[in-house]
Amino acid sequence: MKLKLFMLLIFFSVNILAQEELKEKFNYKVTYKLDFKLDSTSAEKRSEYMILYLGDDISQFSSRAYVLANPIVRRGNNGSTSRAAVTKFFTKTIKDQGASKMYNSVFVPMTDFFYVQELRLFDWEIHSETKIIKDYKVQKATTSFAGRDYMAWFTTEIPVSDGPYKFNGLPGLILEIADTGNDYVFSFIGLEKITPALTYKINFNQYIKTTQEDIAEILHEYRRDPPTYVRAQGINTHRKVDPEWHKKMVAAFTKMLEKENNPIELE
Amino acid sequence: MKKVSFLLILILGVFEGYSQTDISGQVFDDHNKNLSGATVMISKDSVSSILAYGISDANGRFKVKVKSESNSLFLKVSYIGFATFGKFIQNTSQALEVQLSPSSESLKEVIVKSEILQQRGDTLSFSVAAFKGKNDRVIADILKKLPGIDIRPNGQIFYKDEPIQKYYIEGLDLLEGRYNLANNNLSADAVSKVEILENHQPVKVLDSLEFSERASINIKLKKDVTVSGTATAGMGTAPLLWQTKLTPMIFTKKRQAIVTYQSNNTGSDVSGEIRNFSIKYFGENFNIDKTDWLSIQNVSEPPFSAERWLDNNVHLGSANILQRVKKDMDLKLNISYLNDYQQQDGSTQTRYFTPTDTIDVIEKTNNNIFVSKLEGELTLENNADKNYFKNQLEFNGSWNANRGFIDRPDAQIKQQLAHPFLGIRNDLRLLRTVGKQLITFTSNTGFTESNQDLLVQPGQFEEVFNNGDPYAEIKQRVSSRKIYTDNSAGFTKALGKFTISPKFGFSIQNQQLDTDIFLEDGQEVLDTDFKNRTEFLQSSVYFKNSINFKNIEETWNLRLSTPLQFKSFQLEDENFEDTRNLDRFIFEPDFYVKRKLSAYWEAHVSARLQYGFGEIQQLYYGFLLNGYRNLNRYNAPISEEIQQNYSAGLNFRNPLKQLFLNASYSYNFSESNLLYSSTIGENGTTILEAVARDNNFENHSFRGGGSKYFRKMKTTLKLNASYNISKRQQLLNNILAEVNTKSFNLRGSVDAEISSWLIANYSANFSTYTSGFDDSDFQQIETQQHTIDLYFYPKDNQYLSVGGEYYGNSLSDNGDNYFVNLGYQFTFEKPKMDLNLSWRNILNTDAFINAYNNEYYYVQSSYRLRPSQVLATLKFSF
Repeated sequence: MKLKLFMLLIFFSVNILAQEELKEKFNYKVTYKLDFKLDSTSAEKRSEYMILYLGDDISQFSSRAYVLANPIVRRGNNGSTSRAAVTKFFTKTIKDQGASKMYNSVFVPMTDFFYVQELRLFDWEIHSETKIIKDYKVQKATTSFAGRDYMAWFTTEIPVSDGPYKFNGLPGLILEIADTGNDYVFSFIGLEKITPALTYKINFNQYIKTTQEDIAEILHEYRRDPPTYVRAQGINTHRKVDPEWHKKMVAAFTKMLEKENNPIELE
Repeated sequence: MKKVSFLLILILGVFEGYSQTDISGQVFDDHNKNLSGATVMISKDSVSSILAYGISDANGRFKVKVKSESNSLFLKVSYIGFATFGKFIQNTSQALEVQLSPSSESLKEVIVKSEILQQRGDTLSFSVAAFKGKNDRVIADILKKLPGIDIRPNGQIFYKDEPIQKYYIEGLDLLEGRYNLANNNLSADAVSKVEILENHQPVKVLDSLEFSERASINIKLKKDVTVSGTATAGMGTAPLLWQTKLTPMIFTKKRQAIVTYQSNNTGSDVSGEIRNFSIKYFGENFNIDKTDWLSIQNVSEPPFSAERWLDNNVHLGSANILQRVKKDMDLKLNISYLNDYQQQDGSTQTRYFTPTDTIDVIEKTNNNIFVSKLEGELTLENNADKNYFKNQLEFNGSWNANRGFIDRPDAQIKQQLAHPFLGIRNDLRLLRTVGKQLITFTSNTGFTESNQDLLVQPGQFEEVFNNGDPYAEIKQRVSSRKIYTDNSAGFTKALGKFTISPKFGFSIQNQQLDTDIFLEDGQEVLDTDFKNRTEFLQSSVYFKNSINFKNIEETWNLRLSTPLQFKSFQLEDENFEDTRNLDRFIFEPDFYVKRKLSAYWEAHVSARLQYGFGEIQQLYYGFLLNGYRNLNRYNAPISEEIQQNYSAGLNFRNPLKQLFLNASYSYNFSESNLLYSSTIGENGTTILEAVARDNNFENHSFRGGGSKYFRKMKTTLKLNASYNISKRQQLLNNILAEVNTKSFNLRGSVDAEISSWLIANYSANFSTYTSGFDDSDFQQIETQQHTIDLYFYPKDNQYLSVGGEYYGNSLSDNGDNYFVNLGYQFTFEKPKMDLNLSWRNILNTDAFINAYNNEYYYVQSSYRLRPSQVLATLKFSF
C-alpha cells in the first residue's frame, strides 16, 4: 500500500524545477542547403539540407534528418514514411526572441542535452552591396564568429531577425551565409508557409543542461564507440558485441572522427 | 569571448562630427501586446539603404542610434503577419510608440522542389568504397561499421537499438528474415551502396497511414547480374575434424537465388545462418511447433559455446529463390534440409526430497541422436499501392530418432525413441480499404501430425505393469493430430494523441490424442487407465482492443489493452466414455504506464490479469509413459488458472557522469483449480497426476543494478543483483507440502580498453538457490562462474584472443571446472583470405561438472566434453 502511494506520488508529482518549457506555432519553413568540408585535408565536400522553422517568437534550426525523425513534425506530416538518415550536423538551435536566448540541443542516444547562449552573439557590419536571390532583394553583411569570418546576404523583405545555425541579429532573414574559406556554405532553397501552423512544444526540464564542451565530448565518446556508450547507459545488459568486431568498429570510427578536423566552430 | 550586444549600431558612410540621434520606442500589435523580434530600420528615405537598425526586445522595446546629417529620417518597422509601418521622423532623439496592424498578406513563397525532399542523396546511403577496409570480406563487415548499425552475436541486425524490419537486395526481399545467409556470404566487393531506409514502412498501402519506427536495409549491387559467394574450409585434430561451407549466389533484376551447403563435425551450429528474424504478425496463439510427448533421459547441456561440447556430424543444404512475377508481385521459395548425428555422454546423480524421505538416483547416460529435418516456405506477396496481399505456405517435416543407454548401479536400461513429425500451415494477410478505413484481415490455418514411439528395455514401473515382477520391455505409442484455424479483422486509428486498434476474430482448434502401451511381444495393456482416445475441441470468439497514448514530449506513455474472449472447451474420451466441458467469458486487461519524471529519472508501472486453461498436454485421462521413469496422467477437470502480475520500477540515468541505476519489484499471484501430485518411487520413477483442489502460487521478485563508465580508463563497471522468493503447494508422495524457494543472483563485469592493442573483459556470476518444505530449508546450492578474456591486436591484420573460465558449485566434491582457449586470426591481402586458428579446451578438461536444484530435487551432472582440439580454417569470398 505504501509502495502504491509512493508510486502515485512519483507519477503525479508536479515538477518543482523551474519550468523551461517553450511553446510555439510554426508558420514558415525555410530550407537551406549546407555544403561543408569536415576534413580540411581533403577537397571532398558533403552536403545536407537544413530546415529553419519560424514562429512568432521561437524558431528551430536543424538538419532535415532530425526534422523527419521528430515526432512532433511527424504528426504534422501525417506520419508518412521518411527516408532520413544519419547526419553530420547534430545540433538543433532554438532561438527565443522574447527571452533573447538561444538553446542548442544535441541528442546522443537515450538523452537530450542542451546548452544556453545569449541570442545576440554577432557584431554585424552592413554593406551597401545588394543582389537578388530567388526574387528576394538581399543586402550584404559581414561578421566573425568562432574563429571564422562570414559574409551573409539578408533580406528585409522577410522581417525576422534570424538565419541558419546560430546566425541572427540582422534586420531580416539571412538567405545565404558562408565563411571566407567556403568551408561552410549555407544557401537558400525555399520558403514555404505551413498551413495549418505546426504546433511545437519543447520542455527543457526533460533535457540535461550542460556546456558546449561537455556535449562535444559525450558526442565524440558515443560516435567513437557506440556499443560501449550504450551499454554504460544500462541498456541491454546481457548483450555482448563480438570483441574483434568491436575493435575494428572503434578503429574505423576513430579514423572517421579524426577526419572531422574542421568543425563549423573552430574556437 | 564574443561581445554581447543587444542593440547593434551601424552607420554607413558617416563622417566624424555628426551628432548622434537616439531613436527609441516600443512596438505593439493591434491588441496592445508587445511584439518582440520586430525589425526596426532607419534610412534616409523609403528607398535608400539602411542607416541603422534594431530589433525589439521581449517588451517590444527598441533603441537605434543614428548618425546622419539629414533633417528627416525614414523609420520602418516590420513583423511577419503585420503590415509594415513606415513614417518620416525628425532627426532628433525621441521615443516612439508603434502599433502594427495585422495583414493577411503572406510572405512570398519559394516552393522546394519535391525531388529535393524525396531524393536519396549521399547522406542517406553509404558508399561501400568509403567504409571498406582491406580486411573486410562480406557485407556484414561493412554494415557493422555504419553509424547506428549493430549486429548481435546471433546475426540479428539492429539500427538505433531496434531490430531492422527488412533486408532487401536490390529492393527485393529474397530471404524473409533469414538475412544472415546473405549478410555473411555476399562479397563486399560486389556491393556498391548500402542504403538505410529509416522509418521504413514495407507495406505500401500503409505508407502514409501507419508510422514505422523501424528501419530497413537495402543492398545495392555494382552490376545488373551479380555472381558472388564465400567458401570456407577447415581441418583439425584430434580426432580428425572438418568444417566446410560453400555459399554461391546470383542476383539479376527479376530473379535472385542463394544456395548454401555446410558440413562440420566441430560442434559448430549451422542452423544459425538460416535462422529467421522476420517479425511475425500473427500465429501468436496457434502454431505448428512440434510437441514432444516422449523423450529419452538427457544430461543438461553446458552453458558455454557448443563448439566445446557438441559431438556432431552435420550436413545442411538450403536454397532460396525469388522470382518477380510482375510489378509489385514476388514469388519466393525457401527450402532447407538438415541431417545431423550427435553423441552425448554423461552422468547424473539426482536426489529427490519428499516430506518423509530422500531418494537417490545415479545414472550414466549414453545417447545417440539422429536428426533429419526438411523445412520449406512458399510465399506469394503482392505489395501494391492500393492493396496488400501476402500468402505463406509453410511445411515442416522431421524424422528424428534417439537411442539412449542408461547404466545404473543396479540396472542397465535401453531406450529407443522415434518421433517423426509433419506440420503444414498457411498464413494469409490482406490489407484492403473499406470506405475510408483500412482493414487488416488475417487467416492462419495449420495441421500437424506426429506418431511417437518409445521403447524401454527392461520395463520399469513393475508394480504398475507386472505385479512387481521384472519384465523385458515396455513400449509407449502416441499418435497426435492437430488442426486449427484463426481468422480476424481489425484496423488502427489515430485520434489525436490516442491510437486505438480494435480486432475481431474467431478460432477453432481440434486435437486428437491416441495413446497405447504395449508390453513384451506386442501384448497391449488393455486396462483403460493406460490408454487415451482423446478429442479436444477449443473454440473462441474474441474482440481485442488496445489503446495507446503518448503526449507530445513523450513524457507519458500509456498502453491499455482490453481483450474480451468467449472460450469454449470440449473434451471427449472414447476410452473412458467421458466428456468434459468448459465455457468461459474472459476479460484480460493489461495496463502499462511509463512516466519520464525529469531528464534523469523515469518510472514505470504495469498490471495484468490473465487466464490460463488446460492444453491437451495436461488433459489426458490415461497414463502416458513420457520417459523411462516418468508416468503422467491428468484425470481431473480442465485446468483453470487466474494470474495477476504487478510490477513497478524506477530508473536513474546521468549521462554526464555516465552513471546508471535501476530498481524494480514485481509480484505474481496465481490461483489454480488443479494441484499436481508427484509420487516418487524408490528407483526414481515418478508418477505425476492432477488432483482437483484449489491452490495458489506466489512470487516476489526484486531487482537492482547499476553501471558506471570511467572515461579516463575507458572502462565500464557493471553490477546487478536479483532476489526471488516463491511459494507453492504440491502433493509429494501423497503429503501436501508447501514448497518454498529463494534464489539470489549477483553479476558483475568489467570491460576495459587498456590500450589500442589490448582489450580485457572480466565477468563474474554468483548465485544461490534454496528450497524447503514449510519452514525447513533442505537444500542450498551456490554456484559461481568467472570468465576473463584478453584480446590482443598486435597488427591490423592479426588478432589473438586468450580466454580463461571457471565454473564451480558448492554441492559437488570435484565441482571445479577450469578452461583455457586460444584463438588467432591472420588476414592475407593477396589472395583475399582469412586464416583462423583455434585451440579449444587447452587444459583438456574431459567433463563439465554442474549442479542445480529445483523445488524438491537436485541434480549433479557430468557432461563429457570435446577433447583439447586444434582447428585451422580458411575463408575466402568470390
